[in-house]
Amino acid sequence: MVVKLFARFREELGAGQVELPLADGATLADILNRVFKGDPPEHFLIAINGRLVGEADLSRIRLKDGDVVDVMPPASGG
Amino acid sequence: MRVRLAERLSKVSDVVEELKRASDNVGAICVFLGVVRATSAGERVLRLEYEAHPALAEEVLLKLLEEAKERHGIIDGVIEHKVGTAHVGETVMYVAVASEHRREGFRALAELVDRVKHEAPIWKKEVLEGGARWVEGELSEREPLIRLRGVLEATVNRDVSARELVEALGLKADEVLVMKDCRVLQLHEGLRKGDLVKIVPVALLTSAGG
Repeated sequence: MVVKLFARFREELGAGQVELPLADGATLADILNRVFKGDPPEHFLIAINGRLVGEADLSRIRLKDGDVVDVMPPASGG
Repeated sequence: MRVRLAERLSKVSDVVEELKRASDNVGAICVFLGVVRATSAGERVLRLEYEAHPALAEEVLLKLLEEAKERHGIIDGVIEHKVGTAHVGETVMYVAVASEHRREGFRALAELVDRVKHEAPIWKKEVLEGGARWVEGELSEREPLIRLRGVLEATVNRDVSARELVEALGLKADEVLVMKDCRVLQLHEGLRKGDLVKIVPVALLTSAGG
């Protein structure tokens, strides 16, 4: 699966995209822990395959091979 | 309804003319322009750099406009937002709405500007004299003040829209229905002094099987 990082997250982790092998039953929370090395940010926006998902559901969302997860900082436009 | 992310925004006069053409019933056009300030927390701003999610940002902006139309009864709307480098004094965002009357236009405009800033996947980096930093975004405060657990009956004491009534009670507009004379009101519909209304939690209808 592929995790895409945007704005501040991309700069902090030094990559715009990370490819990860997917463990059986891996949840969105597991993936964020891996990408952010055990210290995921408190707030973020998440999209799976181009659809935004709510922040509260992370440990319930199971991912499958081929999923693309966009991890974005909270909006700060305007 | 139209949204656009671009390095160069349209001329505001063109946007206004575009909205005037939306309908013969347009009686008010409200426009917000976001402009780059010269200072941020006392430091001189050299420039701002905007980044947006290439697909989701426009999708979210369009959804916000569609929801504003449904909630406030506006006729049409345009949102344009800058991407790339912006300098002091430059316009970086337009939100413009056309409506029949000014009241729903003002309400829709204020809500849209807040929602664009808090919900659209667009990010701003400030390049200041002392260095660069990403602006910390805040999540939108969408949690209602109270959650209604039963049907509320009330008499309205002054002219007000259904939406204003719901918000004055600290409720979330998409979690309740406002009913008058056994009819569900649209949020932009008006109520008169003396009207008897029922405010019904949507969750109550769902749990009751319809």
